[in-house]
Amino acid sequence: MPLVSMARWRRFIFALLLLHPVAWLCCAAQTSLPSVTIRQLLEVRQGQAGQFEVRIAPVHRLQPIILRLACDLGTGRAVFDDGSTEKTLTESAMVSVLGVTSSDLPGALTLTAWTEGALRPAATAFFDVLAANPQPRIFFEGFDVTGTHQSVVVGQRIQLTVTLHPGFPVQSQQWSIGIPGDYTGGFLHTAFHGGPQPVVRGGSTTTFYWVTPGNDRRVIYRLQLTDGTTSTVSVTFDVDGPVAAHVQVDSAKVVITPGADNSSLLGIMGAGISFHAGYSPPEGMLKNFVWVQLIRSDAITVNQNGIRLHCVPKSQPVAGIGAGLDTDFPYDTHNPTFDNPRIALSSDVQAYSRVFHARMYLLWKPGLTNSIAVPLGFVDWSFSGEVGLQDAKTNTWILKSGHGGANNPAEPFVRSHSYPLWNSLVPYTEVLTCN
Amino acid sequence: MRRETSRLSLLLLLSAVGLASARPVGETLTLSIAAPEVPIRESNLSLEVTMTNRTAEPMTLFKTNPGCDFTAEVKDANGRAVELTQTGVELSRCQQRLIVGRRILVTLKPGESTDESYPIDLYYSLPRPGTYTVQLSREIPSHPKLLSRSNEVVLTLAN
Repeated sequence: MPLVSMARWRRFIFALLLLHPVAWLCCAAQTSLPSVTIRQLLEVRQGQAGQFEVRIAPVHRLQPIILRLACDLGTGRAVFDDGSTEKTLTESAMVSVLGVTSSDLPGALTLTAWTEGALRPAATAFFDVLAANPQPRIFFEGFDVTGTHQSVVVGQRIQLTVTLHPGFPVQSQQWSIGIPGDYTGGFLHTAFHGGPQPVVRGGSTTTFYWVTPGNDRRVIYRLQLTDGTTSTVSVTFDVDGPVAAHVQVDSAKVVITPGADNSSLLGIMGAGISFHAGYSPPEGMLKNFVWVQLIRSDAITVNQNGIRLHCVPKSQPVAGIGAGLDTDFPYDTHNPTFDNPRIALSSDVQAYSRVFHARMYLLWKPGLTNSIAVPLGFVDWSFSGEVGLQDAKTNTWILKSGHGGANNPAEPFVRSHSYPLWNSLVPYTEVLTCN
Repeated sequence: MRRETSRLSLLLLLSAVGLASARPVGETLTLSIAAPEVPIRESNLSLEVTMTNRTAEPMTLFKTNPGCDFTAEVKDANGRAVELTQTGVELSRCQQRLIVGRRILVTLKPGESTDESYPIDLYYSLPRPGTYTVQLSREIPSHPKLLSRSNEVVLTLAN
């Protein structure tokens, strides 16, 4: 067993020099009592001997010093090499201490040095008896779940922690969670940026969220010490989540409708295209609907006085094809939800055309504290329309062509656990950006 | 390729009425903001607004862009008004919309509520640390020129 480094040495050796108060009182009249310092030179492991240096000064005095081993709290136990917990020294010496039972509380064992008749120790060293081999335990929500099966739901925060004795010289700690698509480190959703977050796999704690349901998901913790010793423990999750998710998309007829104050609008008839979701939530949990829509492209062509302008809705930061998060996160929380990409037709323009592609995501939130929404799937849909001005005085328009609806009407909903990803916001405020 | 950006000054004449001309209304539509009492460390704070129909009749409202639907009154700890950021200003230009994005019609039965988020940091970029009071208001489409105000909440934002 190598000697511990000075840095480590300082970390868990607490040598406390306490001069007997009598020593102070008597110093003026008599010779002082010896001072004692204790340094731990070698860790004490269960079944193995550690080493302490006990220095007694001044060296010419022959006053005996009594060393005592004790455990103030917890399970630790240690003895001297003769099996006792008390030993007498008359001069400085190296002392071996054998670890009997590993300690569960840091610094709970003490090696104290006493002068005869003293009420307080002359020196105290706090130390630990480390387990012969590290035996990490995984904790989840305050419970030791090492080697157990845990039932959770998708979106629930899974924070696993291993508490190691601080005396272990750790080389690395790694968590293995499984197939990357089955979990995420979080779901960022600001106006300008959104998407899944990475999981921190190194260290004594990892936090993640299951995204897909499934049983027997084993999460493994691997510990390696600087001396090459390794230890592996695991916990297994059964992950519940919504099943049979589907979204019905109603047909979307493109029309020109009158707006306010003699204006006309090109859009979808009525409230617009509708998305009606259904699924079976996990037992005992509620349904909820988190809709997020990403604009994939939105191109508007305007013919004005012989000039052809290619426009996109303004986005922040500017996205070339008008792509980004539609308006806000979430898009809606009602079921069904609707969209109607309408465009106002101005009588000083002779023709408009618009081609709009979007993806509407359906997500579900478990509603637990610190939980996140998880995706259930999406609908790709589009809208296109081309109109020409018939009468500028009455702002009357002719619909030349128009189409709206799911890209795949037969199976509009694609079950997917991929999160929506965006780096731009399409607020649909202000005017168009054209070139 | 030379790109020349121009803006179409085409107005979409929606039925919107400037909020400045609206007047407050009592118990028609209540707006309620829930704010945590503990310091908030979230960097992109969104306020959850609950809108409740307090009339005896069904009420309809549209959810469009939060910057168009709501007007916020934000004050710092000294009572000074916090101005919209440049981004906030741009995101609140709702009168010149040529194309309409989200426009969800919500019908609230008497006593029924609906929630909406207002990403306040997007519009005001509130410096941390700081304490702010926030009050939201919005007009009621079915009661033109009437304005409903939320409770005033105190946000304690930490670094």
